[in-house]
Amino acid sequence: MRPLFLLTLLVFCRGLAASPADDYLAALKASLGGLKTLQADFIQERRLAVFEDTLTSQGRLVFASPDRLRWELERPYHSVLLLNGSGVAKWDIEDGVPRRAKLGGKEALQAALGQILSMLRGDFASLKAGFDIQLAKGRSDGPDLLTLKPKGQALGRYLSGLEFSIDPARQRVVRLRLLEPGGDSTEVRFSHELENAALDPQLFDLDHPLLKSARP
Amino acid sequence: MPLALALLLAGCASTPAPKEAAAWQALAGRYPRGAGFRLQQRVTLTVLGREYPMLASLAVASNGRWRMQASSEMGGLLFDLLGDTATACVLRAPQGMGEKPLLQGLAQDLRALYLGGPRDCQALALQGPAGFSLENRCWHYRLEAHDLKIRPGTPPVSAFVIPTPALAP
Repeated sequence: MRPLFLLTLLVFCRGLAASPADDYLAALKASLGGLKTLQADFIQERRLAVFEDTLTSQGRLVFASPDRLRWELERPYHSVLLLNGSGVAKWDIEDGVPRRAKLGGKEALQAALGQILSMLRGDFASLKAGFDIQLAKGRSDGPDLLTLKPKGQALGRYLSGLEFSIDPARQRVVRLRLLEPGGDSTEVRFSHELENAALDPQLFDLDHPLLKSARP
Repeated sequence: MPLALALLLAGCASTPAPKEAAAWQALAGRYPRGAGFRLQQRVTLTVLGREYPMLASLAVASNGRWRMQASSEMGGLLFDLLGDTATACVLRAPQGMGEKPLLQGLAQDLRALYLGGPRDCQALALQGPAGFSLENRCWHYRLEAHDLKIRPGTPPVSAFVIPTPALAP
């Protein structure tokens, strides 16, 4: 009876103890807490399993802590998604002429952009309620890998996992992958990061954003 | 006489204007139907004045089979349809959306656009060499599409296979 009790206690305590992933996430959040602004280029590859095809796009991300985000696609077409404390907007630029989209489904878009904000703030711990999180440390100078698997079937219908590749030296996300049940995936790789530079607030203005270019 | 007039008007209404007929003809020459092709497009679906941007991928085989998937611009599958010149099935639809608009609306649009199918509800206007807009008068929505990538040739077999989860009850 006594050994069983001890074993139960050990298992219980083990469950309560902080896992290596928890410590890692805490350190990551502390490091990203110092990030006031970020500008980075990105390449986004959407892989379509059944079509055996890939669609590649390029753009620029601009972030200002805590809640402003600009996700600008430059190729193969030009559009700007904006998220700030007051809402979300999309601008399409065709032949140099900007037009604000009369967006439907704003909630879904806001949620997707909110996930990117969480990533930029290192707020992975808030995702623990919905995901099982595993950490795989990178070999030599390779990136660490955080894998998030959805716990519930509702989310699992759309998403089979999220992967974040993290540069251990800089403690920054360098790549994210969104994996879907049908085998499709979306991968975003970041480069040319510029941190804590002053930003024009108009970059995030939903009604009158700077649309020429978010590049410094 | 009023009946003849009504018939004449009805006849005129179902005949596309010369400009639109030219648009359909030009569109037919844009995609290599005979050999089959894969196509990726940027699409905006407008319903009740609200715009839903998405990326659409289409495979069309020379025998008329087709597969269309639409995903959001940030990733994530929205629609998945598989069909041919006469039938279609919905493999994935957004939650809360019935199949009818997809089967009777979108699937018919695809047949009209890429397979020369009937176009009873569809009004077409070209937008430059790689774009078009289509008004579906029966289902009251508008599609605006811009080609991003066309790959001529027989699409992979996987494009026309029903995924296993879709067969589950």
